[in-house]
Amino acid sequence: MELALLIACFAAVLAGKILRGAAQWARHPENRNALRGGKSGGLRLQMLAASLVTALYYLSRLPQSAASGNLPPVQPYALAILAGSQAVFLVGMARNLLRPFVSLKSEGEK
Amino acid sequence: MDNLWKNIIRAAFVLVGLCPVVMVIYFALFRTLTKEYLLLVLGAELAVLLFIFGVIVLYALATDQIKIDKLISEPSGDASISRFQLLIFTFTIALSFVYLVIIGPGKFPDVPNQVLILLGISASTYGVGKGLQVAGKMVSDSSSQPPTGSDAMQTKPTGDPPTSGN
Repeated sequence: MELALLIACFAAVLAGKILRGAAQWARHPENRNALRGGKSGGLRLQMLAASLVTALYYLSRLPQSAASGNLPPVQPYALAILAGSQAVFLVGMARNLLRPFVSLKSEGEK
Repeated sequence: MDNLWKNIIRAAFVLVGLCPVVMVIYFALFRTLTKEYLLLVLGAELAVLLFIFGVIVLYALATDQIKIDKLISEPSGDASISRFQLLIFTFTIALSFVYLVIIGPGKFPDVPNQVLILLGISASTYGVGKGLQVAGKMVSDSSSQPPTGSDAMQTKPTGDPPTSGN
């Protein structure tokens, strides 16, 4: 009971703080299109979606494994989807990072 | 107010520290001190200590002595999706663990290898993303210096700095 109460208090404080920080961040005009616009909007969005779906899928399997007392295993295809999504994000990020230099180099060669 | 809390915490620690001494003396004088009693007392002590630590951290969080407003943002203030996904998976696994300890049959839950791989993927993405960001900043900073060599043209960026929040 005490443990549950302590964890509930932690969750409430954490959620409040993160939401307060998120609200401050969202009020900033430059951040309005953080997930849509910019050079990596789609990359961010697909990784966010894959992460949320995987986490919710994992949590949905939790009650089934409560009787055994073990954490439910993650399906290999879920791991593959998540790894692919994160790899796409990182490759896109590296590509955006290198794009100005590569394009300028090719212009220099011409 | 802070001093009051500090004194309460100090008193709690002293009480927790004195408790096993009192128990050992009590059992030595009036009962037989067995290993089971000692383990029981030590277990209770550890639980109380952890609870006090938790309350201290909770108090520090609530009073902004520990600031976590920017837990999922870059130092520049940009949103960090890689931090956010790491937070999601860490909380998912941690809460699942706590749930199983409370609801389950009362044993320490086994952690499957796939869960470790999941956390590894998530943390690696954060680490690699942070590395890319730092590398981009270093390249951007170095290219903003006056050109000194023959390859200066090849490393000078044109557009916005490529280090947007990941």
